[in-house]
Amino acid sequence: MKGKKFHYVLASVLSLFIAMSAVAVSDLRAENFPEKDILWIIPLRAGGGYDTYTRRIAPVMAKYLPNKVNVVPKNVTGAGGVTGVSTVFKSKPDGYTIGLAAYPGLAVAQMTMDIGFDPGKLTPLAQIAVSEQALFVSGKSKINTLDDLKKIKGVRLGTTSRGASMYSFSLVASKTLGLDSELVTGYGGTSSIIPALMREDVDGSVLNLTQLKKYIESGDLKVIFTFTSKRHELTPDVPCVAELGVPEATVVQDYKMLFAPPGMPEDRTEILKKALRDAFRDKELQEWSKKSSMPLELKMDAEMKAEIDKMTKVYGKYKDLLK
Amino acid sequence: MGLFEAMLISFFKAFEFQNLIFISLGTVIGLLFGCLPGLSSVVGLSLLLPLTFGMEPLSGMFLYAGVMGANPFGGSISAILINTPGTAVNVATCFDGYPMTQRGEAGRALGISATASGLGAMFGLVILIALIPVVRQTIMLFGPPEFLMFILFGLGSIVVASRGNMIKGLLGGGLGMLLASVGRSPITGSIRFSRDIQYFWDGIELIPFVIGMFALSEVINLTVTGKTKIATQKVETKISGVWEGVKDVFRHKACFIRSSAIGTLIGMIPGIGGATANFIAYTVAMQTSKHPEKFGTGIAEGVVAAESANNAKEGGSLLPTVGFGIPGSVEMAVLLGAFILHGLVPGPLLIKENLDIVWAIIWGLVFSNVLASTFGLLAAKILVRVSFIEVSIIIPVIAAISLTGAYANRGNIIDMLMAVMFGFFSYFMRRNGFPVITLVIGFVLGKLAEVSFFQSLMVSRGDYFIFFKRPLTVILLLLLLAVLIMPFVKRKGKHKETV
Repeated sequence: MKGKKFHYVLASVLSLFIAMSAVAVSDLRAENFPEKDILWIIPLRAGGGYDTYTRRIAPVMAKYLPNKVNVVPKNVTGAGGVTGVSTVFKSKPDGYTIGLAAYPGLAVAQMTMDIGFDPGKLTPLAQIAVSEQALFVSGKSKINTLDDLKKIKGVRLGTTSRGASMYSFSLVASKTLGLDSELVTGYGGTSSIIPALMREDVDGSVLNLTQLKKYIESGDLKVIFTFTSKRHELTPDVPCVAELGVPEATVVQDYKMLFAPPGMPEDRTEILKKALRDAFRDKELQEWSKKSSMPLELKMDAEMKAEIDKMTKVYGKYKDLLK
Repeated sequence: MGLFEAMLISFFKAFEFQNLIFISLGTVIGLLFGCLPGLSSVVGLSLLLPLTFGMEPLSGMFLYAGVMGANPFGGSISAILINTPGTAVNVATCFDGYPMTQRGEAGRALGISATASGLGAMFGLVILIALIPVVRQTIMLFGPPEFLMFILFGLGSIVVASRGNMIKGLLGGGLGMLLASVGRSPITGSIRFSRDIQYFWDGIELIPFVIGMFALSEVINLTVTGKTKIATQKVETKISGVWEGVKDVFRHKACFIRSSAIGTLIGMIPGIGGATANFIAYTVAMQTSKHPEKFGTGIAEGVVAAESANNAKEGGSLLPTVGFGIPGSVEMAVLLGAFILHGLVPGPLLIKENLDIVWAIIWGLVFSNVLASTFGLLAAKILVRVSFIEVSIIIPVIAAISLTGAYANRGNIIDMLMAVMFGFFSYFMRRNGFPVITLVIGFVLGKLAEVSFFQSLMVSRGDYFIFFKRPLTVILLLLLLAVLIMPFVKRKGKHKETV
């Protein structure tokens, strides 16, 4: 190639190379993230707890993200919540897709079915809430203590179908507490079980404590013990499983965990986590949480991992029963 | 807050400028989402949620009620005109609504729907208001054995609908129930007929199923038979057709009242979905009618029954929702979610603590039904023209809307494939003389029948006598037997007369 032409070619190639590098580098540079809306996938149906928490927190999280972007909730239901998590798993790890997962629900699903992916590879972001569970009976029930419950042969516990979180709770609760229980399945959810308890079609049920605060207040339902490590403020006169001598039963809780796809760049993960931390300090969000009885509890990193590991271990013991 | 105080406060609030806008906007969205298959009011409500954040809760309620009130009528428009149930609660409307359109009586059908919808909604709301003081007792009345009796009512109609074609009808019904069993059993958790295919774990999804069975099947039918228009005759002229429809509802007063009552009742029972209300009302209307053989051919009673029930159900499903915090339907579950987002806590004390909110929903439903029905009556003339458009234009439009709807239902492309498969399946069924209605009844009611039956036995610890112990169960069982035996008794009576 003749001299001048060679210089032109070299200059063009170099400029192209520099331009491409600049683009490539800027793509990786966190300062520009997020540049567009972030999708937050809800693995369960509209109107439920996971949905409500998401719709309330997402806009607050968006407020604390750099740049003006939205966090858009989207329901992706199916296979008891697995489909939604699977969708997150398969999404590009660019920080633009995150989603909730139910624990221990997801852990149980992995142990008992072929879900097609390893949830352990997901990038953990935060635990956003824990729904503490309690043993509910009808307000008029003659059952008042764990001992009363143990005395009943084939005590009927109302629950959703096998594969759903509530079923796992009921099974693990029965095993750890030594109940001779019959699980009455097929209920669509908490709402269908409440009338069943009141009619005494079933003797008891493991349900979400704070969600049913009003039913305790009105006397329609009664709590005989809570699956917590210390007494709950809503039910100060009611014992917890720890004091009843069964601390293992404290894994009967519903953890709402937020994840991103596997292989996320560290800096983008950090930006998302920081926005979550700030969102949880937001005064309005805290007030809403108190007013509407939707407790928030943020846990990240080692603490979050510890909860997941604990659950996986305990539920793992009952793998064969849960199948 | 006293009852009348709350009622009046909310009534006058409805006339505040911004609230009038919200009610109207909600009505428009409800109608639109109603007539587009695959877009449910649940989606509409979820989209509106973030918009209502800063609003006064009362205004938010007017908006939501607007959507919920207008939705069933919106769905009936596409059910009647193009055999596409716009929402799950409009399936039974297709059975007689579309044949009426085919006869050139679309205006009449729309008139029936608009009137029955509006009046049915009012019926449901009146019952709601009356029963609020006894909400607890009402909810506790219905357990699995009572559910089962309701479902059996519906399943019993498979026999009636198989008239003249008993074997094919029963086969269809059985096949429908078999299809309903695909997926995870709600009782045992075992996954049936779908081992390796994750798509089927949740069973066959209702919306793609009905879109295929009705809309796409008709698309295929129109293509193959070479008709030039949906309507084969031009029976009515302009407005008189619509007015006939309005009068039809009053002509069939008993059917209207019975269907509205059934709709309200089923709405009140948490756990039985909205899709069931219009079915059971339709099947009971068929069984108690003087002309059961005409059902499915385009008889006014059929549309009256389906459309009054699905609107009455709204009022019914509000009862457990606001009275006790238990959603009476999927839309109500979203509404409860909306309550929580606005800082209200649903439960047995909501009525005491927020009576004005409850009345805002009631008035919102009243006004949106009035608006939707009025719109329906006025716009019917124009809507009817769809049945006279060249089929070569209509077919691709229906196909496009239907396929999009099948996908939009939950963003799953396989749903679209399912809809196509069911379209062909339904078409071949019709070609070979199988009544589609029995299969659809079996499918819609199958799972509930299974759950109610087995739950009853779990509750009773295996005692089959549970079906004969509770008074309401026995009453319903006797009613069911009476309705089943009635046609045979009638026939014997006729024999005696002629002899």
